Amino acid sequence: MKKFLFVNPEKCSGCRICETVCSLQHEKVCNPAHARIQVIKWESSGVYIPMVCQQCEDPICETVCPMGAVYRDENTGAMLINYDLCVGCKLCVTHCPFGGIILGIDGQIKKCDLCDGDPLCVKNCEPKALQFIEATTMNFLKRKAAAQKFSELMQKLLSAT
Amino acid sequence: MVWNRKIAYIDLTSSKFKIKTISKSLRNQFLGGRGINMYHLYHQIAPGIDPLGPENVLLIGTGLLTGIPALGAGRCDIAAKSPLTGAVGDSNIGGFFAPELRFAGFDHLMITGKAAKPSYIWINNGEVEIRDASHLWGKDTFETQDQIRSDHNDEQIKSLVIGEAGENLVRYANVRTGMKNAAGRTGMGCVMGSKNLKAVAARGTMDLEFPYPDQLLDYCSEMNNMITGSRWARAQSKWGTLIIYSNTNTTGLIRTRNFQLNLLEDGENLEPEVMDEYTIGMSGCYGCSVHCRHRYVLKEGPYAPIFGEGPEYTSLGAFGTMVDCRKMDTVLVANHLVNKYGIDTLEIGGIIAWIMELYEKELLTEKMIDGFDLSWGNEEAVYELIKKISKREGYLGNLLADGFLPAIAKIGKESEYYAMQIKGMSNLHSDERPTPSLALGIATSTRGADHLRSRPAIDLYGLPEELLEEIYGAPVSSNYTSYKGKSRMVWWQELLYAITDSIGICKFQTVFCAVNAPKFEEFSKLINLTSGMKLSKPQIMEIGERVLTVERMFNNREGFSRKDDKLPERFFKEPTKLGFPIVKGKTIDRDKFNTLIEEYYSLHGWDNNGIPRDETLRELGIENKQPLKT
Amino acid sequence: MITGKIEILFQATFREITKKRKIVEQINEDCTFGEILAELAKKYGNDFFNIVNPQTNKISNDILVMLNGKGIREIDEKIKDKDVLIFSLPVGGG
Repeated sequence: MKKFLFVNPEKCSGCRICETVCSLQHEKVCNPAHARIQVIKWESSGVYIPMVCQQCEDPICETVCPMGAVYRDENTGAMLINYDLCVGCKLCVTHCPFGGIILGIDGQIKKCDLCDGDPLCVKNCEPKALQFIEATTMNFLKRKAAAQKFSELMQKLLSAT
Repeated sequence: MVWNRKIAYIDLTSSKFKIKTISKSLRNQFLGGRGINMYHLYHQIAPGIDPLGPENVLLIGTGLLTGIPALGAGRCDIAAKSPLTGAVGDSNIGGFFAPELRFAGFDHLMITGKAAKPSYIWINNGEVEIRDASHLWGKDTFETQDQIRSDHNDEQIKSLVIGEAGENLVRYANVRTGMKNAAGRTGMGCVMGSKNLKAVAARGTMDLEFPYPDQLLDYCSEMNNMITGSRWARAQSKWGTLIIYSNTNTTGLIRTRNFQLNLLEDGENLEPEVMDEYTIGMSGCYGCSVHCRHRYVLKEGPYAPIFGEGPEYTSLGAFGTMVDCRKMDTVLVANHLVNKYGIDTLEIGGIIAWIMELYEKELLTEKMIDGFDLSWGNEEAVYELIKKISKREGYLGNLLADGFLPAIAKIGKESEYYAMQIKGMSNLHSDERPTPSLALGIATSTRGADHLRSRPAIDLYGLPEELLEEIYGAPVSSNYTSYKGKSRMVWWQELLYAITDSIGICKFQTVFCAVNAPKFEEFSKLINLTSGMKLSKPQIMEIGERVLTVERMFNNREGFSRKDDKLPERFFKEPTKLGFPIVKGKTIDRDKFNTLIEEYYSLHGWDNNGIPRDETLRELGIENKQPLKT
Repeated sequence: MITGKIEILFQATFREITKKRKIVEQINEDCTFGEILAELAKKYGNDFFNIVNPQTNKISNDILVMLNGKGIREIDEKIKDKDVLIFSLPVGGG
């Protein structure tokens, strides 16, 4: 079954290991400017949100690309760029609602390729703010987290009465 | 690659700078970070200079590994002659500044002179600029960082800044970055203030290249998995350093009411679990998979709302046990205040506890008391003193802003006995009377009383002696109250931490915490993968020895020797009153302690007066720059 | 035969598992640490058994068990009346 890169900002500790391993994996250097993932931080209120391509089901990047350079990898589900076709028009960068596609400092269009189905950012994310999981697992975890809150509320109500 | 990385020499007096490549031989001898900083400290600073004069040199150095995605490799070392102690000034800081400085094209900065007006240094993709900071002067450490970002319209800028304490030349003002990271010790913020330097800001998108990137990535992943799979790291991830309190406040290894007792009774409100109600999550430094800091919100009380990060175990002692305040709220407010003003939490906590004990002992005049109620547990006095000292307001604020030694001179000889300081610097709130190894470490540290230079925390764990012998290379007692082998333990840890600070990783991910954490062997591999240098374990230990010996040489030249490697008298005279039988009734044995010091000197190749021997200098390739005796 | 009482203090992860800071246990004559561990495992689950390294049959090096303030590693350590045991994790820092 297909897996998804599931981001849970509540768990992010802001260490930026995801950015650095991404850059080291794809460009062989440490430089977060190359990273396909970035932790956006509101430092003074302690909010950290990792932003990365959502590998949309109906991808805008694919729709807006005039060259047909954006395609889906059937094995991993990742949206990829065919650099033989890409002309660097940046329409995908402009239209992506998540900042999932970046314009690299070398001028090339870049995006998350899910590391061929084994994302390194996930492997190195200790707090598990990033997970690579199946849809059913993702649904269950979301429901469980919500149910947990609900259960705590119930406990409080029960103990109050 | 590492061989063409840069150092910028910046003279604030003339506003001129030059950029050079860091030489290969310097790398081979000192690696980076603290190592290279200490080389420059020894060679660039003339003996006897005023630490607050333009002739002091401020050194900022990233580690050799800074920037890699593992082991908290986001650290930076800041050094100068200390205005607090007159000895080696050196402090290490985490957060995100150091990698940003490397991405901006520089590994090291050497800052000399004094700017004519408030200034900050702006470093951006290989360029250096000295800019006006008049509008930043007077701002706190949070506001300053925000203002620099907004001035440059770039939210990704990372800065080292000082707060009001640094501007006002409080001798233990620190250098700050982010919400809580601080180069806390030895007054490096005071040196920045003396140079009219409000901040060093960096932003860059330059590559950090390595000879073996694929293997480096694999090894970093391996390290991250190893660390996060360990039980100690999982505990750090959840409770941070606060977890130490549960143990020390049970066994009796914690200082309360300055140095009067070694347990805080009714101290439940400072237990780490209390933080749960304030915590919204944890926070990690660059490249750290442990994330040991709390992100906390204080919603109630006169100082609320506060968003902050921390507090560390240190602050729990500074604003909890040592001043006998038994509420986590107090620790959180005070932690916020010291971060805001940019002042060392450990030093100010130690000095407030001291003045409270002097008040109790009636050793202060009315003028000195300055209208304060300095009773134990008075949290308002703690907050007020943090403010007054940072702003140098009032008689007491000014008196304490100069640190222990000048304050002792003014208050009187009798006050010295109660000052828990070594070489003019305050000690952590740990009680080292039952633990000779820990006591030796604070006495001999080159930067004054300190636990981050050599503390063999694993001595407390009762590990099998075969294992200890395997690590330390000779027999060591597994009993923490024993003196046997403890000089070797301290010596070994001292070399380890010198290397840790030179390669720019976090001590908490080394044999500080746990016996199975990374040590020289892992460092050897990482150094090879990031720089291509092939250094064996003995060669790396020799570099550590070189760093330590250069620090010693600097201190010797400033008049420090064995006479200064001492413990406060109370360690010998007052037995511990509380705790388990193994801890209770303990003092340090003067004769045994003297033997420890001599063994420790001998392991370093220093003579019985703590002066490096000529053959040691020759072996390590250190030039003898001491003035000739007449 | 019950011959004495000991205090067991839980810290860090062990406090989380047991939801207790302190318990008092009664012990028999010739009691060893291993027996206490078996009791705790029965009450609070296998996390207590797991502190023993199966290869060495000693308390793991990444666990801190203190008997009257002294770190111990041996399973057959004797436990006597009025002893205090601490279950904790070794964490350094400041």
